[in-house]
Amino acid sequence: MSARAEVAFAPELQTLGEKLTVPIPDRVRILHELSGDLHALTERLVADGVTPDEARRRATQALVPDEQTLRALERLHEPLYVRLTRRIDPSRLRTLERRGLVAATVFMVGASGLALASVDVVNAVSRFQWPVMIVGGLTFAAGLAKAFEIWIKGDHSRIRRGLSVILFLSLSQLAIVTLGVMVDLYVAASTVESTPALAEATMFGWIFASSLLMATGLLFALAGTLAWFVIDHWVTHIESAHREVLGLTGPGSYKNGDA
Amino acid sequence: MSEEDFDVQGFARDINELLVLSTLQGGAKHGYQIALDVETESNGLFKFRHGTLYPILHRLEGEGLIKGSWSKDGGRRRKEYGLTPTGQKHFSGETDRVSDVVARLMDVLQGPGRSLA
Repeated sequence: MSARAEVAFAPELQTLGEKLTVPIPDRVRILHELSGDLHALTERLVADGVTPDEARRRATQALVPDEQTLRALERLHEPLYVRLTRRIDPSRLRTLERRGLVAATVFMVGASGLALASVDVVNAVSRFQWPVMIVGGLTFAAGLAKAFEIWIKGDHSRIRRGLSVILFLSLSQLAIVTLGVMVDLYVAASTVESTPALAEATMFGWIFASSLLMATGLLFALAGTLAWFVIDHWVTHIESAHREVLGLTGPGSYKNGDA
Repeated sequence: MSEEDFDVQGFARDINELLVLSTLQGGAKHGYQIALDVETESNGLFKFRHGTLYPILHRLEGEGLIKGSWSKDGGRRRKEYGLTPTGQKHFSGETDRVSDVVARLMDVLQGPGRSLA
């Protein structure tokens, strides 16, 4: 196949890539298949004596899906979740999804809170323990919402939206933990200075509260960063495959994530 | 097959699927080759236009009647489809059903007192 024919189908594939609203991995497979067939059919027609321009026109007419065919492909490649919930009113479905997300987050934060309460440390914890729990819950909610959107719903229309929030929340845990340990140390040192008799109990309390704060904060931060890394890596991978099939290799030329 | 089961639009779709399954009897093929073979073998009577072949292929693949496999040819990924044993069985059964429908249609068209020119 000539370089000319290589370039020739890029506009058609890019237009299809923008119109076809199926999950990106499915879209990439469809475009790869179409691209391969378009080039092979053009080659075949040229070999049969048809001019390259006419061969390209015929291949496009035979193989490039029209609007009706695109809708048929979209129905065939609908994620299972979309198929199962098709009969539910969209606004009602959104409400149900939000309630489910809140319930899962409350459950996770509640279970963590109960675990803390069960070891009778609630009265001894740092005042920064609760912000860490709340931010941990928010990180969990953000990660769960993103994972649900891209892997269950298969909605890739704004695939990078909300990803940086997961990373920001995870990193903010580190800031809260660091601040908490420092402030608690300052308070403990002030207490020891004003009441030397309580030095041992105060410093023991600080060590205990700080350890718990660091353990939970770092655990949440690590889990959140890991979730961000996995999702971001997957998104980057499929965006790269999408760019490749569309022939978009230059930086900044990819538009899907912002569509 | 009862009369109330018969669906004309569904029958047209079944014909398209049968055409695809029929061309795969000779071995695995790429999508464009299937389209070309259908057109050639039917002397241009049946043609797939505007990519209508792909929903058919993907539906058949989803139903397990054909199986797609990827290969690399000159650096480009190509998808090839082959008939599965289930697809082979389905093809035989559906061919019989279509023959039955066509025979009954001809019975109606060539009924008593009528003759086709």
